[in-house]
Parts: sequence; structure tokens; C-alpha cells
Amino acid sequence: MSAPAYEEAPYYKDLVHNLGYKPLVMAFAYVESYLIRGWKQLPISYYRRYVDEEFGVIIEGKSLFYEHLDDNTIRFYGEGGTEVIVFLFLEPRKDAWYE
Amino acid sequence: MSNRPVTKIARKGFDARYCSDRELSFSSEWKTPKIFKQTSSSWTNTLGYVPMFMGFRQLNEDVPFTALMSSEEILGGYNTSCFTHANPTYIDSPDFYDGVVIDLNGDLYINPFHGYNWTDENEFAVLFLDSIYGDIPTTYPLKSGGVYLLGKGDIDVRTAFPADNSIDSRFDTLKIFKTGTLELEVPEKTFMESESYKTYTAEVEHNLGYAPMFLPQASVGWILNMQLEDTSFVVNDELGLLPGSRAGIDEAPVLDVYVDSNKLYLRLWRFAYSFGERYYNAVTITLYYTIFYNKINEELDLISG
Repeated sequence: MSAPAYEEAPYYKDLVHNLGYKPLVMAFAYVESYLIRGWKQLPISYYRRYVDEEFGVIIEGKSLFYEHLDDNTIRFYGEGGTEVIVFLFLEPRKDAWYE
Repeated sequence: MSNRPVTKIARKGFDARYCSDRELSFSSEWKTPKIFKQTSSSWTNTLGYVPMFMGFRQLNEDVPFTALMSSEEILGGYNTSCFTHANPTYIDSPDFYDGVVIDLNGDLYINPFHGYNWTDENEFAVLFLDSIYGDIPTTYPLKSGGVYLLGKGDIDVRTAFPADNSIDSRFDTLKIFKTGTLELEVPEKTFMESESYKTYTAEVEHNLGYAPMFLPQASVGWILNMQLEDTSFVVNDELGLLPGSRAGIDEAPVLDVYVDSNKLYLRLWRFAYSFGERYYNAVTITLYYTIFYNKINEELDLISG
């Protein structure tokens, strides 16, 4: 799957786990912006508010999200400088354990 | 090679000495997240760091199929025995604080998801000892009474902070009841203008008699974005993507994943166009699920007192 071209999230960072499958992801980020201030789980949508001398108040949509590029790599998208805390779960997949 | 002692338990049919990590059911080399609190109330942090957390919604009859304002005329068909993850599944949330939020100090705020004429029945937070911000204490004094501890080998098991040990019987963990694959086979379909919408459901029984925690962290009212709205996909693999921004007639299909006291449900909503025929492909939506013994609406506090 190709990376989505979300213009509001131009920065990304790859997490290479080399598990050979797509693990469950629990990712957290602290967002301090217009309307939200706190730790939330990704994906997160939020707004940045700026005051422009010419145009007045400008509200810009932002987001933090991720995608599995393949079975070994997860790509995280968001504003530059954002710290994302990631937990990966070794989950059972097609070979169910206890069915 | 490290000389650290390691405890491994293999799944049925595998040899713990030689099998891969995925063929194990436990290894002391992995982190086993420990639950220290489950609550439906806000909480003032006493840990000194920000803990990992998970949130759940308790739904009711008033909850619409998606929380978008424009969708409130269609109810989701839930009741108070229905629970799901408290993750945002739409961009236009009525309130960005809805759900489970932890502030910079680590204090927990619980705000039931709501719209203009509905509010969730309740919201539950599950708090783990693992840190998402700040250093965890280096020691945790043992209290009197029997305690079973299993260390990871590199820290003294008796004084390690519980998050750094593999097993600590003073805390709860996610206990697997059942795992499996749920497939929703959705047929090809052409909607006429007059048809409005149609739902398709796949379900698996657990019959625990209460709503259990489950993974992955899928929720209800997940508006499928353009990549997913008319194609086969695995739910687990797409949960990190932003949801779509519009649902309902003329807009995107919506996916629900939720549990009640007896079953786990995977449900797709497809909608007609208001101005002509609408064609959908035949698709398969796959959910690799894990159902835990842990009860969602249970209050417990294992760190105070």
C-alpha cells in the first residue's frame, strides 16, 4: 500500500521492527493545541491556531497517524518534532491459539 | 549470549526451547503490561509519571451510527450492554476531549463521547504501569503478604518496580480467553435511491456473561476513508490511518467493532446515493481478534491502600 498523501502531515519517521508480520500498535502523543491538550492515542486529528497580521486568525488542521508499510516497517506521520511513544503487541494472527 | 535466566511457555504443540516468539504464550523477555487501575472516573495521578492507558465506551440506545452531527437521525442499534474502544473514528469529533485523555501531569480525564442530543452511557479507563512519559521509580517496596514475582534477570526481582518484572501477582494483566479470525463477507450490491442503507454483520460468540476487553482497538462509527471504502482489508492493519470525514447517504461506509455480554461484532454500514444508483464491490473485511477475560466495566485500584 502506498503512503497516503496527506498534505497536513508532511513529516514521517519509520519504525523497523522486522517481526515479519504487522503487529498491533499502541501509540501515544502529547498534543497541546487549540481545543486539545493531553496525551491521546494515535490516530489524532487536531488544529493549530495562528494569528496572521493580514488574515487574522488562521486555523490549520493537523494529524498524527501511522500505517504499516509492509510486514516489517511502520511509518508514523505528523508534525516535525512530535514525540510518539510506541508499544508493539506480539499478537496471534491467522493461527489462532485457543479457538 | 546473555546468561540471564529466561522463563518461556510454549503454545500447545511447540517446544519452548526451539520455537519462535510467536509460538510462545509467555516469555519473561517480553513486557507483560500490568493493570493497576480500572475506573470510570477522572483520577489524580500519584505515580510521578504518565502511565500507558486504554479507554472503552459503554454505548446506549441513543448513540447514532456515527458521531457526526449529520448522522444523528440514524441510531446505531446499540444498548447499554454494548462496549467498544474509546478511540476517535471520525475527524469531525463534536468534542476533541471526548474519550480518555491524560494531561501533562498524568492526571486522567474521562469525558463520555457525546453529540448534540446523545451521550454515551459511560466511559472506562484501563491504566497500565508502563510509562509513556517520565521515568518510572527504580524500586517498589514489597508489602506484607504472599506475592509471586518473576523477574527479567537483570534487576533484583524483590526491589524492582513492578513494570520492570515479568510477573507481579499484585497487579492484573490482560488474560487471553480466545483469539481467532472473523471475516465479514459483503456481497456486490447496487443500491437504488430509495434504499437508504444496509448493514452486514459477522459475529463470534464468547458467552462470558459480561463485556470483555478485546483487541485490536477498533471502535464503532469508523468512517472508512477513500482507500478502504470499497475494497477488502484487514481491520488490524488499518487502524493507524485517519478515518474519513463524512458518513451516511452519499458518503462513506462505516465500520463497527464492539462487544456485548455474549458476542463480538463486526458490522459494516453501506449507504445509497440520494441522486441515483450506487454500486459496491464484493469485499471481505477481516478482523484478527483477541478476547480477554478482563471485564471492561470493572472498577479496581491495585496500587493504593
